[in-house]
Order: sequence, then C-alpha cells, then structure tokens
Amino acid sequence: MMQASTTRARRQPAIRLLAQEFSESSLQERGSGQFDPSFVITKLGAKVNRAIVAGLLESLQPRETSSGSTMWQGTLRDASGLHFFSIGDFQDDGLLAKSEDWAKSLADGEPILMMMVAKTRIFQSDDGAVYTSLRPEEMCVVNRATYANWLVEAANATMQRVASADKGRGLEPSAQAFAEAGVDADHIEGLILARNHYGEFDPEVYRLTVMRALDLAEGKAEVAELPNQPKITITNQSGTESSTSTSGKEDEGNTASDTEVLRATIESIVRSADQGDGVDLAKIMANCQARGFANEEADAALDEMVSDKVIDEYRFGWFKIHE
Amino acid sequence: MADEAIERAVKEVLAQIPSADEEMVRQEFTRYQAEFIIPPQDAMRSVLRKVQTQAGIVVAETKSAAPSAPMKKVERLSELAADDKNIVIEVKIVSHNPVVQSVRGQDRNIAFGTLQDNPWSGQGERWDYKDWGPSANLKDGAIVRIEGCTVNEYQGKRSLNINQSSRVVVLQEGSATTTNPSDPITIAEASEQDGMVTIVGRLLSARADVITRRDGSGTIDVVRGKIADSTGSIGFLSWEPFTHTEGELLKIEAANIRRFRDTPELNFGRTTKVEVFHDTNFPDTETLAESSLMTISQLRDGAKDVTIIAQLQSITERNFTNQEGEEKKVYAGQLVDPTGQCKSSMWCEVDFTEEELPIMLRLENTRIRAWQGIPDVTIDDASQITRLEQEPWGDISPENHVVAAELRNLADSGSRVGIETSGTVVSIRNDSGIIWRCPECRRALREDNCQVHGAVQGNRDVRVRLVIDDGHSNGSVIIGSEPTFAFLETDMAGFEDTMGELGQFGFAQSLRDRLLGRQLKVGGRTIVDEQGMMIIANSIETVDVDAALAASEARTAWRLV
Repeated sequence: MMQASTTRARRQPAIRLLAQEFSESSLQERGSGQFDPSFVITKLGAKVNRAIVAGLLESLQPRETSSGSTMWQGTLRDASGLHFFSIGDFQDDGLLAKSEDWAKSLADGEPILMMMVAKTRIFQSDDGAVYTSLRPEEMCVVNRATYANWLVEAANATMQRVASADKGRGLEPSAQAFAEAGVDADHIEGLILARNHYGEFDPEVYRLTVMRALDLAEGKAEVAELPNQPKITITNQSGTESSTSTSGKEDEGNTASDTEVLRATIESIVRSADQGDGVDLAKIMANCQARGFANEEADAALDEMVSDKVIDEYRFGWFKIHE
Repeated sequence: MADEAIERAVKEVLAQIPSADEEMVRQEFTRYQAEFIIPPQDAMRSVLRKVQTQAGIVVAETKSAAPSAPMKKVERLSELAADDKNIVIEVKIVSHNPVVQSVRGQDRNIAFGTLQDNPWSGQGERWDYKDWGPSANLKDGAIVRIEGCTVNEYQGKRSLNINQSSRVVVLQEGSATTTNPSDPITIAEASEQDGMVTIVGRLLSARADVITRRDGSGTIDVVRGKIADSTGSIGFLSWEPFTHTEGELLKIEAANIRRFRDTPELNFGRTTKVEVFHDTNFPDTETLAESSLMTISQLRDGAKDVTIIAQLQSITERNFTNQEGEEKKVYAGQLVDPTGQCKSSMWCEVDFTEEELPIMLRLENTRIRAWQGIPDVTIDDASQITRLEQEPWGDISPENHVVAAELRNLADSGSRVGIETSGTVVSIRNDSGIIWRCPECRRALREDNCQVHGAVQGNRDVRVRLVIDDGHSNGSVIIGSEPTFAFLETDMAGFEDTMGELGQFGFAQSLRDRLLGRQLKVGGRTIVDEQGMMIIANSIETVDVDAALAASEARTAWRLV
C-alpha cells in the first residue's frame, strides 16, 4: 500500500542558480500540508525553495508598505541577468539596518558585490502574469574570489540540469522514462513538473550564459554580450541633458535610476509572461503597478523601449521582446 | 580586448551625459572589471547612476503601490459566491468524463464530472464541474489543487468552470496508479516504505522470543529473525506461529513495515501470508549472509541481528549495581573499521586482555543502540564474539582515524563518528556567540531558565552555529568554544572584547562576511535524525578554491569551448 510520506521539517538545500534561469520561471509548487515548503520550478527543472545567489548590487531602495513599515527592494545583477529581491520588516532587524548602510554606500557610487541566501517566491497578478522574487535570509558583502567561486558552482549546477534536460528531451515525461534515460535522480521530479508546464525548449541559451559566467570566473577581460539585453538609456523629462549641478532640483518624478529599474522590470515581465503570443498592455501595467510603479511612468517607459527597439509592439496593444 | 569594451562603455556614458568626466568614467569601468569581475556591459547601470548623481540629477524614489490582490483561496465550496473568479481550491475528483462538444460551431474536447471539497478527510460537498482545458491532470480519484477556476450559476445551481488558463496541480494521483501490494518488491525498496509490502527472501535466522506486555498482563510468544535478498536484509517479528527453518526461500505477502528508531522491521500478523517459494536462481544463504555483513558507517540505531567485522581498539571494565541490587559487569570497547568508529558494550566475559589490543573481531547477531548519535554494538553472550586471526588493519587510532565523506552521503546515512566533510556555508545563526549553560545538564539556557532544571545560575560558554550545504543536502554545524577560538585565533578574553564591540548580530554578520558562500571543511561527528543532520565539529577550516582553475575544469567537463 502506498502511503503519503510523513512530513519532515528538514532544511531545504540552497540551489545554485543564475538569475536568467530563475527569472524565466513561472511555476510554483506547494505540498498539501500546512508547513510544506513551496518551490519555484525552473525551466531546467530545478526545484528551488532556497537559492544561493551573488552579484553586483545594482539598486536598493526603501519603500513604504501599506502597513506603514519600511521594506527594501533591490536588484542584484549576476553574469546572466537580474534578480529582484525585497527585505521586509518580518525579517531580521539586523538585515534592515545593514540594508540602510548598503543603500548609502550604493548612493555614494561604491560598487558592492553581494552574496545572498534567499527564499524564492513567485508573484502572480490578477490576470495570471507571473514574476519571480527573492526574500533574503542572509546577505553579506563578498570579494571577487568568492563571487568567482560562486559563479563556477552555479555554472556547474546549471550544466548538470542542462545535461538532465538533454537526456529527457523527447521522452514521455514520466519518472520511469527519465530514470531509464539516465536523468539524475535529483532532477527527475522537477523536470517532469517543468516539462508539463513549460513544454519542450532548447537549453542552448543556458549554455551561453554559463560560458559567460565561466569567462568572468576565469578573469577574462572580454566577455560576450548577453543575448537580448536592452540598451540602457537615460531619459530626462526635458529631453535635454542637465549640464549643471544646480539644475537637479527641477528634475523630479521621472528619475534616471528608477527608470532603469522600471525598464528592466518591464523587460522581465514581457520575457516571463510571453507564452508565444506576446503580452498585452494591461498585463504589463498591472505587473508594473504591483511592483510599485505608477501607470503613467510605466506607459512612458514602455513607449521608449518600443522606440529603442528593445520591445516590439507587434500588433496593437501586444508586446514582445525585440529579436 | 578589455580596453575596447571599456572604451565602448565610456563612449556610451559620454553620449548620454556629455558633462561626465571621461577619465573618472574610465576608472570606474576599469575598477568594476578588475576588482569585481563585473564587465563594462554589466556595470553600465551602476556607473551611469554614479555619474548622474555627480552631475546633479536628483535620484528620487517612486511611490509604492499596494501589491495586487491575490487569488481567492478557499477551503470549502460553500465559501464561494456566484460571481467568484480566479479561485484556488483543493478538491478530489469524484468522476471525470471527457467528451467532444460543439462550441460555436467548432468541435472541442472538454470534460465534465463531479468533484468534492475537503479532499483529505472523506466527507465533503460535491459540485459538478466543466473542464474547458481539458487538463490531463484531472483523473478519477485524484486530489488536485485548481488555480484560477470560476463559479458558474445556472438556474440556481452552482458549478465550477475550470478554464483553459486554469492550472491543475496533482496533489495525489488517482487510484489507478497505486501499486498492487501483493506484487513482490525488493527488500531495499521495502525498507524505504511504510505499510503493507510483499517480498521474496531467504530466511537467514529465526529464534523464538517472548514479549512482556507493558501492563503486566502476561507475555506473548513471538519469533524474531532476519530475511535477505540480493538487495539487502531486514529483520522481522512474527506475532503468529512461524515454523520455517533457516535457509528456506519464502514469499511473504502483506507484511507490515514498522520502524523501531531508525530501523525498519517486517511485522507478520494474522493477514500476512508466508509460503515457501521456488527460485533456483535465488542467492544461497552463505552469499546473502556475507553480503549482509555491515560496516560501521552502515549501523543504525535500533538495528538487530547485525554482523560486523571490526578492530577492537581499547576496552574498559565497568562494574556497577543495577536497580535490582545485582552486581553487573560490562566491558566498554572502542571499535574501528575503514569506514569509521563506534562503541561496543559487551555484557559477557571476554577471552582477551587490554594488552593484546588491537585485535580483529567478528561480532554476530548484535543489537545496535545509539547514544547521542554514536552507535554502540551491544553483545549479550560470549558466543557472539569470534576472534579472527587476520592482522589488524594497523595503526588506525581513534584520534587520527578520520574518514573523509561527502556531505550528501553523510546526510543520507546514520550517525557517524570521526568524519570530515565540506560544504558551502549558507547560514550563520544569529544566536552564535556567548551562551549560558545549565550547571546540571549543560543544556543551553533560555532567559536564565533550563528546560529541565528551571531557573539556574548558568555557566558561560561559547558556541557558533552555522549551516553547510552542497546543493543537495545540508548539515547544521555546531562549533564549541575550543574550535571557535582556534578558528578565530583568539581566546576567551579576546572573544569577549569582540562580542562587546560588535554585539550579537554584529558578531554573526562579521562571520557571514568571512564565511557565507565560502567552502568550509568540518571535522567531527554527525547526528542524523528525521529533522536532518547535525555536525558536532571539533575543527573547522576554510578551503581556498582557485576559481579560474575550477572554471577551466568546468569548461572542459561540460565541453563548453
């Protein structure tokens, strides 16, 4: 007689993965028990409850929540792309205090390489669009050697998943078929979930980002461009460059650094929500709003991205990443 | 070349902010590249922001908005209103009927049926549903979570619409997929299961035993023994008369797997069917008996009928008076083999002396008990001990006998002593630092209170707790004062100064800055239970990895050129 296995409060392992693989995920899986862990399932079949990630801290900003407390939202860039994370007041006071220090260093233009161990989550908006986010448990500043070592670990872990995905390609998504094809036992469950949700896909793009990560870890000076990266431009309300430091006061609202975060946000929304037919305007707006961006801002940023050929409006009101 | 990439990036910044200081921008990109291995492309946003700040463009913050409303999650169908949409609910599929229906002139595959809420506890409300997907995950008897379904009300009757965009997550497969419990499985498979199993195996040992009822109302005659196949062996306990003899091949149908401590055991009851089985290819008793020989690393708390060959390192005689006032004598020994070390308690006379040690012993049909995770091979009778002529393995001394093991192997095995392993540090517990221990039992105090002895004046101690992880398994590492001081190259006085300066969180964060994401080599012993693995460390040391070399190895291994 088969019985459901008893619930165990074992700590979940920290999955090594690059931002690209994580940010493309749209599947969340949860057990039926009250305390069962939840997992984000990546296209490569990683079951990620906890992740260990690292990279350049690109932004870190406080936001007021509806309950009046402060939460910090930030982005972390690794060799493959961008992670979004948020630190709420339910987390350690120490972490909130450190966030303030780090945000200050960031504002002073100090580069910060950061390592974090974080719980993963997927947000879903009313209309079903999804995006990924991290909730750090522990963070610290690391040096280039530690970052480089992490890049190699993440590259190896990614390639192990790519190898499993390769072995399972074209097969009936069943535990038996995958096991017979030599898929790593650790990956079978996640791969079946991934296949049923994402369908078949070509993991070549992961090979490219892994190579880029290894280039950086080896200390190569010249590395490949990431595929599909938006061109970074800054926008000024006036359309002219401010040339004196005193003109700063007139600039408000549409600020440069937030615009960049917003553009990256829009791009990641379009990338992750596009199931082949593009993404409609309402979905993009709803997602931007959920991340704290006003509709007008998001609308303007989207227009620019279309004119910059980062995103195509391939039919009226429907958007795709420019290829 | 690197310079080209940097020059391109510098140009790009200058094109956007003509007032920027070109040399400063170049230095920034060079610094990101050299010190942080962040290529110019990836550093673009960070550099732009710095240049903008310097150019005086104010960086303001956007207003936040409340996050969008989540899906409506309900437990019971009765909680739903007629116009509810985007519902999440867990249900049992009572029936499922795929049909082809004409929708606006087109034939479409859909399905309809009945589902029931409260799926985990039998009784629930039933509704009809229509599945527009149709989802392959909906099957008779399956328990599923449906995300994004809609209520439909027609002539006062409510039903659920499972839309094409809805997601169906299988929580428990339908009844069609469960295995038939009368099909035999291997002993290795049976050991991982709970409940009814059927196995085929050869009887290795059987002996009558008596169980005394706890309430003193009498005794029960039982038979204990061991049965094996080529995948392993398992102990059994028969509550019914059992007359088969050693060496017989048996098919045992509908036996019940129960667990005593960490060890599974087959229980034969009234419904169990035991019959002689014929298979000339089945391994013989001798082969099976030898293959069921265990190593120290395989010992589990609660195991019975364990046979092991090990080297006896030391022995101490202990005499004491038990609760009934009898004089008792026990020899406490230390055993080692190439996989580790453990203890042994011999409740019988032995025919060797301390001076002869080390010697090799074969210990048969022993019981394994564990105290604080250290296995103890318990011997009740001198006939269980055979002294072997074979030379001892040599100078395995418990002090330097450390077995290197992979973290994942340790986590999947029983508790071990004398091991060394490594993993990436993924957590430093904030309660690391100075703790107070109960003077009676050494338990860590919580707010000056011992769990057992109440309010006590504690003794000060130092302890660091962290977690190492290999991406598959993890272990909670507990580092006492001595290895902590050794690692930090300090003593109690120096440590107190550090704590005074940094505080509890500050100290943990300083360890994080030093250790998080780093490889840590840990020596000590493990305690494995259902909550996971704990490693009591007597030494820790960071491992330096040459990232460039490791990256080249990865490139070769995965053929990424």
